[in-house]
Amino acid sequence: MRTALAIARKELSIYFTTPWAYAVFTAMVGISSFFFMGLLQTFKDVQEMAQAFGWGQMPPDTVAYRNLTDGVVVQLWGVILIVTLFVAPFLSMRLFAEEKRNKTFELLMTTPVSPLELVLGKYLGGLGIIGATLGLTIVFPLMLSAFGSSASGTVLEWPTVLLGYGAVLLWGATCMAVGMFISSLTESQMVAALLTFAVMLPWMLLRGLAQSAEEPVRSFINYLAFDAQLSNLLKGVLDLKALVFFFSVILFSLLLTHRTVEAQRWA
Amino acid sequence: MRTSSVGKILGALGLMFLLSSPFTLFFTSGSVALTAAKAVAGLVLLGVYFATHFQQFGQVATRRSSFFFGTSVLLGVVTLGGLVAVNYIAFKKNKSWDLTRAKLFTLAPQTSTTLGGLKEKVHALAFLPPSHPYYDTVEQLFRLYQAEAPEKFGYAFKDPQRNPDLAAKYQLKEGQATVVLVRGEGASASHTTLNTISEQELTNALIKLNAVGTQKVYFLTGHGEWPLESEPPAPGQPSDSLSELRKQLLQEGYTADELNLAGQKEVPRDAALVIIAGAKTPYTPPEVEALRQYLAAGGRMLYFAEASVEPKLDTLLAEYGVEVDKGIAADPQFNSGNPYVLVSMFYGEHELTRPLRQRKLNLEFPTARSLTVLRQGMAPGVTAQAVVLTSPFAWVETTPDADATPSDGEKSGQLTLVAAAMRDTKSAQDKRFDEARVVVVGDSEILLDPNWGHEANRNLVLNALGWATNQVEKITIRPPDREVSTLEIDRDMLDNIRFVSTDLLPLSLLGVGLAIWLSRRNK
Repeated sequence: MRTALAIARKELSIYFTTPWAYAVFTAMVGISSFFFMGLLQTFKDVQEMAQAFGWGQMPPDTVAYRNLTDGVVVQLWGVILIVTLFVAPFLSMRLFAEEKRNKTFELLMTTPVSPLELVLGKYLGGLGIIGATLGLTIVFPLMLSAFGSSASGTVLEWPTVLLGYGAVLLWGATCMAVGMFISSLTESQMVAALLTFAVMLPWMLLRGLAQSAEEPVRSFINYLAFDAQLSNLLKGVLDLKALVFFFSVILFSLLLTHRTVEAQRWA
Repeated sequence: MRTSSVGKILGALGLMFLLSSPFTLFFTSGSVALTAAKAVAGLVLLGVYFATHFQQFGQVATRRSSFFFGTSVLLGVVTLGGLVAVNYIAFKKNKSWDLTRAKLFTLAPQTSTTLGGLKEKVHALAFLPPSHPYYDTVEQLFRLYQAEAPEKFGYAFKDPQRNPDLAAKYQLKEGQATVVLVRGEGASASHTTLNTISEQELTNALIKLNAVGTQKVYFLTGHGEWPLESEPPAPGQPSDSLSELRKQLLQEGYTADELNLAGQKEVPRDAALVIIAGAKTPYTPPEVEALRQYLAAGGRMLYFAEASVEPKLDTLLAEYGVEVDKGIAADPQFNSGNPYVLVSMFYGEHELTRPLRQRKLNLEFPTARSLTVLRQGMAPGVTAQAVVLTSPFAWVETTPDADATPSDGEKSGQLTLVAAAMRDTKSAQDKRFDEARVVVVGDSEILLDPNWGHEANRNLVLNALGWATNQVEKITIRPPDREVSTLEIDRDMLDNIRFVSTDLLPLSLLGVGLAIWLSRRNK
């Protein structure tokens, strides 16, 4: 495990000393803040309208705007999930593909590092960088907490906010695991990024297919859809099955990566 | 082209056919035959690939890497199997924790109590097509109910277009989002329907279904009342029985039985309701006394009057504030081609007719007696109310066979056709319920099988039945909501937040990236 941590540390130091990571950070914060401001403006407009007419006169779809947690933060996490779908492939693409392209992968395989340690180390490094990227977005609820107000004094429902944030991190960790496996298959970083995106996007939107299917196919597809699994977590309901599902995808992706790396020794 | 190359192309096509066959079954055509044809074609083409590369496979099998490949595939399959099993268990036995402060996604305590008190398993059938916008919401609600009481609540979704027979069985309207709750199985199954699907409606429907299952409805006999089942009618003749009503009662969870009061001192204790449907000969004083005692102890009764006959129940009805007028109600304007066949859309303010008023249904009475709601001479604690009325142009025709025009001395104006009365019986001795309830309807023919198809009339009868037997107060579940929070910021502050989040923060990160790039470039 110590070797794996050392590899993770090395990976992180590489990430944080390349301008590429900062470009990704900037993109993540820039896009998120753009949506955050949009949501905040809508929230403010609906609240002003509700003050004038009363909540009883407001359309049913404005009920989410009664509070900042539902009206802004829960919706913001939904947006960040989509942004992560675009950002994560660019962070995961280099994990193995870069080593292969630079011909350092063979060198790595000759060192006394087991494939398991290598995979775990690389993944922990990737987890660190996606965690840092998504970590920046916590600044938005913090800002709301500083400027908002409510009768009880607590502006945001922090258990809901933090559970939603945990869901976003879990989603990021899953994207990194799948992305790392795809990165281990190719030496082209761009191919790795595009393939990761091509796999994760339809998987994320699988729920749309379920709309036209009947039971039990509907339930089956809904279970496999990332979107459906995340919806409860984002709303503030800790679902055991969602955790099991995400950890299963991560575990299986790590296993496949491990076998791909191990295959180099047997080729 | 070489055989192996052709084999490769065919093999790729075969793999494509095989892998896309589930897609054909579930998402495109839905045809099992087409899916099977695609899968078989895929397998054949893959077979061609293997046949053309047989020699190559033989060489690979001897290689060292083949062993690794084999063990990897095996390990992958075993792990996948294990994970599928764990996920299946997690799906079936899912545990969830509602972390919201107001427990927004947890069932109300009233619902948990109701589910716990169900005597029999209730099955919810949602008649919604998979594309319906409320499908997921309803499913989520059902899932919560099932998680709360898996052995007492089950559910299924049925597409009304694919299951027209089932939709017809429950008399569902096309395009209406409906949930049918069914309790029990086979002939003894009872059901109730609901159109608005919320926790409150669903729980109230469960309470209703749980309560009505044990209620016995007695139809009085012995005075020429309409029979529950009659001898088979002559060919081409309509059946003058109440068999359709009886069937409906069974479906609603009531037990219908006949009761002859002759020689009886009292109405049986298990009577949830007594119905007098078109009595034509007078009741004897002991029979009237038995009914009087029954009502005084909180009994419930529906009285459907018959034209031109007097069953000598007028004194008893007068105690409950209702008098049946002599003659037949007529209306020159609101009728269906005959002044005695009244059409009414005039409802009093009463919960019994609220659903009819909301749906703007027209009632139709073949030959109705009008009623007078009394203001004095009633038994203590009685309040009576007009529920359905004629138009303001109606009159009571005392000689219907002679003429069909209003004459001097005949009552005219807006007449009452249905009245409802209540009596406080909390302090009654040996009481049945805290409140006696009586509904008097001016026409009994609306109950007959040939007239049972008239939707508005059927609704009136069933609503009257529901109101009269109602022993369970509806519960109110206030939908929980998060606390209202506001954002007290002015325009300047909003601009500052915008500046920090969309400008300062991204630029700072970009600046750090630029600094690193420049410093690395200068090294």
